[in-house]
Amino acid sequence: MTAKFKLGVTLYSYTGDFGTTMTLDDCIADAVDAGAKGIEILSETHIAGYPNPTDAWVEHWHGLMAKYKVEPICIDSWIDSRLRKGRTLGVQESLDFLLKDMALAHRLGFKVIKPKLGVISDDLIPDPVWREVMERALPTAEKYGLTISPEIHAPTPLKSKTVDDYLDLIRKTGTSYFKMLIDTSIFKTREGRKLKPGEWADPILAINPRDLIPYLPHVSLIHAKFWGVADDLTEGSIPYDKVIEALIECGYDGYLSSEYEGPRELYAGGDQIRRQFAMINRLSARG
Amino acid sequence: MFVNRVISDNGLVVTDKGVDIDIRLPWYRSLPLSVVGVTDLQIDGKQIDLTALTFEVNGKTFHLRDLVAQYTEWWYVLDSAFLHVPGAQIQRGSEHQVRVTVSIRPPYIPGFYRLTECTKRMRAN
Repeated sequence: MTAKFKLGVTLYSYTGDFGTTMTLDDCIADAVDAGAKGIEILSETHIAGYPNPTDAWVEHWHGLMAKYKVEPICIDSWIDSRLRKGRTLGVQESLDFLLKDMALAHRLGFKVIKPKLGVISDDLIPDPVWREVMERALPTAEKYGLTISPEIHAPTPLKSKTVDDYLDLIRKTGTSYFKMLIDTSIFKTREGRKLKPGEWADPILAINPRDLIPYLPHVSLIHAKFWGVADDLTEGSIPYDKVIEALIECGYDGYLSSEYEGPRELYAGGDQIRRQFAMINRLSARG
Repeated sequence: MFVNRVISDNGLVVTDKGVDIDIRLPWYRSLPLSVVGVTDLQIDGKQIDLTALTFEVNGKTFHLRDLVAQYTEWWYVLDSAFLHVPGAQIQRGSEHQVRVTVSIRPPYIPGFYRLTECTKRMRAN
């Protein structure tokens, strides 16, 4: 069986370099050079003048997509629930944030938006306003052909109230414009890094990658999260052989967006992206 | 993370009122000023009175105590902000050790408060 998924990069992988050694143009050029067919960006990071980039900047963005023959695959945004001291944002305020970001996503040609919902605990339980905010945003999503995709990321397992609630929303509204973005941190089986004292690491959920297969109709994109690919092309924390095997078997034809989250050293992003692509390509050839 | 960015290289500038220090946000995405603070400033080991400072970004200037109310003003990751230090007696060309601590409280995670302290030795220009 051949792998049908496509390889993309989130420019978040270049965090150690963006703004110091690399510009937006440099990051896109580098990702494409590494083999990326799609680009994911963070609106509050990569868009100059966010939330109102100039027409010239927007034209420049479209020019980059055309020049490098690459497609915009996902734009990340935030609903900053804790913007104000003393209270979190209500439904209308949260919705205003999201609609503004959706309009921008549309202007830049994206078909998927990943809103990071304000959370109320370390378990990443979303602030309860999310449900009404999403329901009210769906007509706009449909108008723009833009799929709203909150991320499922460790410590949220697939079998969770959060996922059940998202599926319930999809079922009750019948919408095709709300799906999940799955971060492969949920498949982490061991801590492959040497952590500094007090350093945060995603908890180990050790979910079997095959468990994702039934959810795939409700998945828009997969983040290929990783913290470092070694010289032998293995990632120390996530069993990518099992992940790739499961995706090939079920014929997933969406994007894997490569997300490097290891040490943000200079030049690490570009190097690690290439290592991950080499790892994935090698694993795919076996499939 | 981002420690080195907090004080921009060559970011110590003598003005007719004192000195300006060019600083950058120690985070991977832009943040509203309402979740940003400057909790410490030392020049050559001497503590500078924070209430005397002003903070300038996007062409607007604030006292540090007023940042918490700035919900609609954003500090973009690639932009410099400037700490105006009135009355500082610094000569152009002289070398000084500057230490700045910036605080952030990312507005999408409960209980997340980070201080990033940066120390650089610089020539005033």
